[in-house]
Amino acid sequence: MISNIKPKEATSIINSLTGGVVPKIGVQHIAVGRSEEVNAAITSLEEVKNGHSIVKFWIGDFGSGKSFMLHLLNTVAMKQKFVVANADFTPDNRLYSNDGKSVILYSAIMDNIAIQTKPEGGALPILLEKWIEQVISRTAEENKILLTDIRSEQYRDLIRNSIMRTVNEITEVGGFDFGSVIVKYYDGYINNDELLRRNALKWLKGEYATKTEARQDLGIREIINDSNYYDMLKNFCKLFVNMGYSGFMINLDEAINLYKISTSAVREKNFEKILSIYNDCFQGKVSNLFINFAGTKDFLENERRGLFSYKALKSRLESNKFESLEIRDYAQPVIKLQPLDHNEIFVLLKKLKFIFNFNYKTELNVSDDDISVFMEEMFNKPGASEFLTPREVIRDFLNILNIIRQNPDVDKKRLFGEIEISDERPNDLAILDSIEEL
Amino acid sequence: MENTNTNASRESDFIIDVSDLQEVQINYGSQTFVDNPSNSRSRTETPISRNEWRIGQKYCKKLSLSENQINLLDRLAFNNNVFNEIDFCRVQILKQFLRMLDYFDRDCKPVNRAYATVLDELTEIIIVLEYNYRRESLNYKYTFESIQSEILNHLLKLCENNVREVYAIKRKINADFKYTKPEITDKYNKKIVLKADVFLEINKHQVLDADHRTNIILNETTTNRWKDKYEYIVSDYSSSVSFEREIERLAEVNRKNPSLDTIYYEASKFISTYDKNASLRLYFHYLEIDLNSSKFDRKQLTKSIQKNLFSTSEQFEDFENIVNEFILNKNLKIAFESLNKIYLPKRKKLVIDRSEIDRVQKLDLETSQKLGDLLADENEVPDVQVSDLIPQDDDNIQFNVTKPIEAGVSSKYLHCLNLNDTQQEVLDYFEKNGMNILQSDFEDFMRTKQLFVSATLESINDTLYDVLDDVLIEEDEDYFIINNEYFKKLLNND
Repeated sequence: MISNIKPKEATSIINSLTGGVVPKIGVQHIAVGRSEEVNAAITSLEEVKNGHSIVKFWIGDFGSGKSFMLHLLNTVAMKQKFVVANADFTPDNRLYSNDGKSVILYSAIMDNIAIQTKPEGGALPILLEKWIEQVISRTAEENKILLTDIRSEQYRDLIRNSIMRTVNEITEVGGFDFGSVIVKYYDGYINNDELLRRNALKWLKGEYATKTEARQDLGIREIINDSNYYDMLKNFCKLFVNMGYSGFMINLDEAINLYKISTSAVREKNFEKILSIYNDCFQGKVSNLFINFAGTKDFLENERRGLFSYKALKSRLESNKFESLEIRDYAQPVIKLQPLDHNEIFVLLKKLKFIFNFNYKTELNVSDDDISVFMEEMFNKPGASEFLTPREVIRDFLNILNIIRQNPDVDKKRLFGEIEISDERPNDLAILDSIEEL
Repeated sequence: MENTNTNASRESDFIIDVSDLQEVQINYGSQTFVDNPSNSRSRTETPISRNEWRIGQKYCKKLSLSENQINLLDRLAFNNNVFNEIDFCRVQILKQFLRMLDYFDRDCKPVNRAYATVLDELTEIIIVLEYNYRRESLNYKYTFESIQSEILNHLLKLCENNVREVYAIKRKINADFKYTKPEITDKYNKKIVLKADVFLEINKHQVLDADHRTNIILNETTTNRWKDKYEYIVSDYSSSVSFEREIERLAEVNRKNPSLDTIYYEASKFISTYDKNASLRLYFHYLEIDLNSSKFDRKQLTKSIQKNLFSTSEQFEDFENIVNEFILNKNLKIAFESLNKIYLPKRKKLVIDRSEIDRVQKLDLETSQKLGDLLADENEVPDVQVSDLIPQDDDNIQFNVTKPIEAGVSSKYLHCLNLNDTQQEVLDYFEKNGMNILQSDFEDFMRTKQLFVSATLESINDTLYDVLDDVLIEEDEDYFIINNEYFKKLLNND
């Protein structure tokens, strides 16, 4: 049933899923029923690696597996040498604003930058230093200076110039300030000036609120703000590619928060920003950038507040009219995640039983029929049709396996009968009801 | 009210009753009892038994009557009917009557005169206009007494109608006054009836609610009486539980009412929009009564109500089956238990399609392998073997690393790892410091070499990640640490 599962993966899968979260490793073993979506993601990653840029919208109801898919994309992308950043839309951040809410989103993205060796985020300083090291090596090579000598005092200006020149070569907008800040970062490190290094990092993460403050600390006249943060993201993308990474993947979850923006003009501006990102990516104005949005059907299709309320986006994001539930087109920018059917959940639980046994080096007395009975109990509980998500089915199943492992004589049917379904959905409707259209 | 014509009553033995009101028993006083065959028998009996038929005597204890009240009520007689034959109703009529006379005495008397004088004046007017008897004649005296009794009995009828109204009996008894000459009726209405009407309207609340037994009798005889109460229950609707309880109480006091089935039927219709279960229960109550009646109607609920009650044809079929079973066994308890299950979600049978499962497994295997390939270590050395499904003694991956042989080159670390000089130097530094280095110490060490800390550590981790499938050098509070087991895997152990 499963080949090549590693003990570490099995432990991660069982522990994470029991806790209701997606495991850090081993996701390939639990991607049951998502073959087409996975293929689409792999193809997209390959295209981005080859220099294209892509925007994808992962659309599905609560519990349909959006976050799982983003996580899977993360894992595969990092393994494919992508720089990855995750951020959630919240009521306090958005794509477009003129009161600092966009730069908050930018800061969240920059804070969460992750690479394979730093998967939990916070990899921006590592990447900067790695890039500077590369520039230093390249400078030494170009100027026929020994690697052991290039770091001496006399070549520092040469390195500074090299940093500036390289940044200017790879960036289009705001390249001078961007390069100057990286030089400051370099100076801070070389001169053991920790404050200067931190201020440079603060600037790059968009944490300067005023130009005056930035000028005092760094001598830089500009700061990253609501209007230029997207250009900075593109600059970083180029920087990462210049370092040898495959590309920059940005995953933006909880897009329903854009749908919830109460002022229609502001909401429209945000959708306009999505359109400009979409156009940039698909018209080839930017390379190696992969942006994923995850949201509910309302976020996409609601004609009053969703993306479809913005005609230019609607025409781009409408489903392929030849697509049906049976015949799907996963090459579209919008991928609608259908809930797993009973057969897929059955296969998934069967795999989980295998992984559970493998992890605990045991052989539980749980047959295929027992799995069927468990599923039947789950789907017949009050509220199952409204609230039941794969997350809850999996968690309850693993919890029951744990009980059976520790109490082999327990009555399985009694355990199945004690299952209760709870509504774990966020209370979006109540929030939406309270929003007044301005 | 005091009898002011005692002399007249004493002489009434010689007077023939011309009033045409056979039912009105006029009090002639104990000494003026009419001599007839039945009375001759009564004459031998005790005074109490003789007077038992008189209202005052009969109710003297029950109503705690004074002597005057007894005498007054003795002058009254009910026109017996189904309503006033109910003792509770009769008591309420008499109480209302006594309260009304008190009201007349208290609130309607002319200035400096007793209210009785009003009655006397009216009586005199009637005698003059209707009979024209001489004032001193025996006829005058007798008729005077008779007319006063007629007035009192008319008031009693008004009281009965008032009590009937309070008890929601729509049919009233005839309360027309005997004398119709305008001169009489104008005065009579003005002096008596209008005041009585005012009293009865204001004081109808003093009539006690009918008790349970009385209600049962009233409902049995007045079959539509439940409608007012039902309308009130409907208008006061707050919850299906209280509605059902109220309908039960209404049904209880209508248990002898032939319309009892209609009460349940209507209640079932009403509650259908609020509580489907309650509606079905009430419908079955209707069916139970209908079944026990002389003619089984089996009225159906209307199509719109059925549509409201049953969202699926399955539910309707279940309902029909329960009805048919109930008609056979007439067991309401069993029917209710079955009804409770109609709206419970039907247990869905899980259908596992074996061929579909095979397809899902096949697809999943392909995807899992594809993902596995992508996530596998890119630069794995050819002879690194990872045991897959066989549980190991410890959870770490076991590598069998064979060092590629290169003549003349000797390195502490595996050659295939391709570690550069700086990386090897850093690893040596860690080994020398017991695999734990204070971050600040490490930064100093790196500064001497003009190298970036993060970049150097990342380059080592990145280089070794594919081999170890994990990060080699980790941050742990103020330290950088290396896992010993991982480190051993990097060494050239020849």
